[in-house]
Amino acid sequence: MSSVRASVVVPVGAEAAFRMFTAEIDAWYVRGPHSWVDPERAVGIRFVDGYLRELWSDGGHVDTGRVLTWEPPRRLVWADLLNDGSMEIEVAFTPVAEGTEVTLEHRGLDTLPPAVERRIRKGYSWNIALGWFASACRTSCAPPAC
Amino acid sequence: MVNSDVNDLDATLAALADPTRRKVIDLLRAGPRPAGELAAAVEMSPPALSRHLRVLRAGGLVEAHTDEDDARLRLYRLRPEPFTALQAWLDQVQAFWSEQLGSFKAHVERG
Repeated sequence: MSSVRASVVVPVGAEAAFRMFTAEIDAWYVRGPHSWVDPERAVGIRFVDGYLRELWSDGGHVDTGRVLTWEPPRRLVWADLLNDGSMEIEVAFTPVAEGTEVTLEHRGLDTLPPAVERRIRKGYSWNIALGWFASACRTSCAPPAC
Repeated sequence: MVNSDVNDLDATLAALADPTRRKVIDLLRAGPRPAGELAAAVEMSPPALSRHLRVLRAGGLVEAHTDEDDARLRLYRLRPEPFTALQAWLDQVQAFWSEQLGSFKAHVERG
């Protein structure tokens, strides 16, 4: 319950896949209202100086992730810096017959920020707060309702 | 089926934003309990706790029901609906990354 996974197979070797995922993230990252911290100002995204950084039109930026593991061409992990919980995104590059399987895991979704109230005021996602409730609920909600 | 009042997210969050109420949620993990036991467990008078239970009910996190074997006994228990809301969020996160990886794949295939 606390993590989600997604994966694709790309028709290139792991080294190329890792390089394109990281160095070329700005070329493939989907632009959309949910893709940015500040959709009004956001103009790009890149891995730089150990961070995943959102660049703004006024020259400013916000670091959305801090790189924890940088192991080309197999593994990449960054910590989410936008939320008070302890969420991590791990991307694994595994050679397969058709090329490279890229598997992304976003974990720690049930980590509860200590100051729920403050987060509510800041307008952060309600659902992270619900994660705390989910872990509390897990043992007592009878299936199949949960 | 879905009661929009008890699933109101603001109410859910407001209900969670209090240590006593989070303690009550924790206690209810073990199973349904009467209000009196909950009050004793959080070292609070029944009237004082009743105010918190009202907020938890309004937020849709708990509900009171009558025990099948003893009609005089009202038990509080957790409601699964907010949990369902969490699942909906997990689905959104999953969809977000699937779309990003789909775009990554298209980028690689373009060369």
